[in-house]
Amino acid sequence: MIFRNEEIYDLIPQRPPIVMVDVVWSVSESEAETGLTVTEDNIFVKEGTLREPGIVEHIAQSAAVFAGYGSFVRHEHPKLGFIGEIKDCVIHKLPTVGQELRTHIIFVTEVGGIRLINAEVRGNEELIAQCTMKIFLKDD
Amino acid sequence: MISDYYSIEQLDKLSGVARVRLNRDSAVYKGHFPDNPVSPGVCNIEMIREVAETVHGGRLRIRRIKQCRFTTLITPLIHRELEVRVMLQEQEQGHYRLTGTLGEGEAVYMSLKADMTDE
Repeated sequence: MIFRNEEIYDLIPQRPPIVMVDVVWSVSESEAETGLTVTEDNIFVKEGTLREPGIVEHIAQSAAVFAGYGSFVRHEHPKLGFIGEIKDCVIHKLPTVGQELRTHIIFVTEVGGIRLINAEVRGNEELIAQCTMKIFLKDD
Repeated sequence: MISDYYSIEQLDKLSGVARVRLNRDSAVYKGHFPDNPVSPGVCNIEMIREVAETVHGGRLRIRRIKQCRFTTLITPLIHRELEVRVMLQEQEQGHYRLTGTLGEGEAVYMSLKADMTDE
């Protein structure tokens, strides 16, 4: 099942101007594949490149897509999700405007409601960033 | 890049300590999250980066976030002002190790360890 643009609001709680995923290629209980085309009007773009916070927020929201999938299959609104920890996040390159990012989220484990995920961001097959992240969801 | 979600009110280059004020009217908080403004983790990182750049006197690029821990949710409704503390150590020419925190007084809400380079 592919989600595009506003359809992604079924999976994540973020709303414009800070929506950093514009396509979800696939999502399941164990992984997610997301994308973002870098546009000039992106709030994290400066001088034609997507800056570090934009890349990390894209990863965080890709993780949120994965985390939100559980609520989606239960026909519930996505819960608010937060970053608990970022570890070993290497930013190899800053993507430029027009570039399409493709991000793979792999679920590693869940301990006490905190999900550990690995992320890999690519642009034109080139590695942009890698990251391990802990995220937690706020219960309503 | 959006930067209106905070402003640096006070900064001491020598100690690397700054006071920042959060602007609750920023569009960032409208989307993160509707009716529930929470400072995005990456915006907290950006506040630390800007203070580090000012202390350093030049632009810095984040190459690696070794570890970044978020222990308290920061919201502009409660946290009007925050304290940023940075320490930048040069490892080799143009390469720096950044240690930074965001908090209030003794309380640390977020801590960051990162490798940076001159841009």
